[in-house]
Amino acid sequence: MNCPVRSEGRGESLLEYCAGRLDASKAAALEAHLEACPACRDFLANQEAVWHALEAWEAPPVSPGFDQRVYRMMERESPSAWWERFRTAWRRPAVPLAATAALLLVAGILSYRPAPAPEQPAQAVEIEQVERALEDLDMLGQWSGAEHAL
Amino acid sequence: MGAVAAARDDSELMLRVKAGDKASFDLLLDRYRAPVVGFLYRMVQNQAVAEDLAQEVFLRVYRARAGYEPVARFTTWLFRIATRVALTWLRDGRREQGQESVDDEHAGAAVREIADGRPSVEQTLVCEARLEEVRRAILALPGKQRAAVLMHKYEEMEYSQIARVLECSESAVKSLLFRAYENLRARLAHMA
Ligand SMILES: [Zn+2]
Repeated sequence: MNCPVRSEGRGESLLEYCAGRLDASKAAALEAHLEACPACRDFLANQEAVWHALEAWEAPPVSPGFDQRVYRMMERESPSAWWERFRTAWRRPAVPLAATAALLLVAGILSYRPAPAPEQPAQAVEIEQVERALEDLDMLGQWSGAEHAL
Repeated sequence: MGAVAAARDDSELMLRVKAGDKASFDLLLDRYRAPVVGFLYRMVQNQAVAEDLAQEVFLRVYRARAGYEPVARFTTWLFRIATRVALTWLRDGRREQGQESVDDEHAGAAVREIADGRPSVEQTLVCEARLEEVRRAILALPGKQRAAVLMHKYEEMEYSQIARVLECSESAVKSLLFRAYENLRARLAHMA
């Protein structure tokens, strides 16, 4: 076989061999080559040292409240039917500034309703929903266009 | 369960999420919570930031459910979102803005795992120093090299899948991994 260190393969077979992911026939061919090639033996020894060093690095456990925080974000996000309709209807380029502003105002007014979660005041929900409206418009490239018109 | 069966299963779950089934989302969250947080933790090296970013990843998955099509493996799509979120965070340099990136609170977590029985104070210190070196070596890698190595080492992804996650060619991944491990060998090979 070609020497993996010197060939165009960029050491792939040695990296995969070290990871234990090389199939048996390729591994056997590489082992035969290793016998004869000090450069590859060196490469492999160093790569194995790196591999074991990385192995020792464990990620900490995920906090117990993680899922709850995801669900809370999803609930806040949960679009009511009107919002979904609004998004679909306005998913077009170049919304005029006045229309955009009017829609944001409507979004603000419509989203004003009794607090859905006890720990969250209605006003905070309203602000968040408008912020999200801005963010979504930004993502659709509409808000930046409107800003440009100012 | 084999990787292929799991992949098919993930896509099926995601299609059920698309159809409005929240319980399927719970299953996906349960399956990928630790891998996604772990990947992001190693990318940004701060557990609180990693969890915030992971929440954003799952929220984006949920948001994008309506447009989901099982054209690629679910994990490819999931890690593409996670990688983008992490690279954006790193690019915006948010760790300079008052966020201490390297997370010392958890530095000892892995030490307790690898040391047998009750390690002596010396052993613990040696392990901690070695882990610190590993963390710094990973942190010194450019973002894409870092993501490629983490997916290769800890997620056990093949070159082809890493290429799809990073939206580049397989030869670009070969080159990324070669340079990344070259950097790591230069810094860590003495630890043998
Ligand atoms: Zn060789």
